[in-house]
Amino acid sequence: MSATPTPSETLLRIEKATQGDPEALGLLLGQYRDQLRRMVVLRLDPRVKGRVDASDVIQEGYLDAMRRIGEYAKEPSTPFYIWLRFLVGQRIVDLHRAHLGAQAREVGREVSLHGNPMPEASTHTFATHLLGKLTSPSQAAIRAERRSQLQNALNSMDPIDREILVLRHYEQLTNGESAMVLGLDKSAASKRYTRALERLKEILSTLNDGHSEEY
Amino acid sequence: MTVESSVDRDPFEVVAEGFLIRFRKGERPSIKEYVSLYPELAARIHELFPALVRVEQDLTLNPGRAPFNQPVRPSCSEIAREEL
Repeated sequence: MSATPTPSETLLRIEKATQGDPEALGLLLGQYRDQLRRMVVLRLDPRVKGRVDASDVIQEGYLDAMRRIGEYAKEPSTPFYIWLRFLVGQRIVDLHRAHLGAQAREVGREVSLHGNPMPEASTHTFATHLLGKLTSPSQAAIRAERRSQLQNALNSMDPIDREILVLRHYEQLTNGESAMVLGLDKSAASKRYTRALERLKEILSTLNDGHSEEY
Repeated sequence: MTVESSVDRDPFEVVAEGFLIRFRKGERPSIKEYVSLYPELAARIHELFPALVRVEQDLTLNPGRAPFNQPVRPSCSEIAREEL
């Protein structure tokens, strides 16, 4: 079997999982683990991270998925990954409520499925983690500066514009998936992405830093 | 990532998605190539592709990891650990 499940293999797993096949569900959950981990790391409030690990959040979401797979099977109108992402996201919301109470952020949240808000992408997290793999001190300094400027640009953007860039590039969701997460139709999400990119370009230009390393 | 229908989508966004799919596979298609493929979008490609690549490269926690469309299949023990 290939390392990367094909779309048809994924669909078969979803079908088997919704019919109660625990092995198929386990394979599905494992298939999306890295993608979910990235989402959790970005959206978990830094004040909670010292107390809760991303793996714990994902495991709680997986338990919810195993409990609620029957509900999904009855009405699988949402792509499986988006449903799973929603369940894990709800665990983040619960953790924020439990650990932060009234201090949990109340504004600028991602508009999520079923009208329940998911925490917005934490730009503080970018500041903490946007270091990546670097090969020299000078390269590290240049990269750190570039990412700091990108973070500043993102921070100055409209929350929805910032969110759609995060969904499309960081979480690597499709236009349709991003639309579903944000409660937009596909046409609106598509236009919003282009508009966000235009806005980002404008902001980076004011910072005299509109170019990538390669383009 | 699967390609979804382009009906009612912004034409530039559709082209950008195709570019990103190739970019995430490790290809480095040129702006010139895309301008020749989509001359009606030449101005926006010239204007926005550098910013698109910039955010794609830098909006990540770990640039060295495999892209999402190429996940590494976890071992049974790893799956079991996540399930528990």
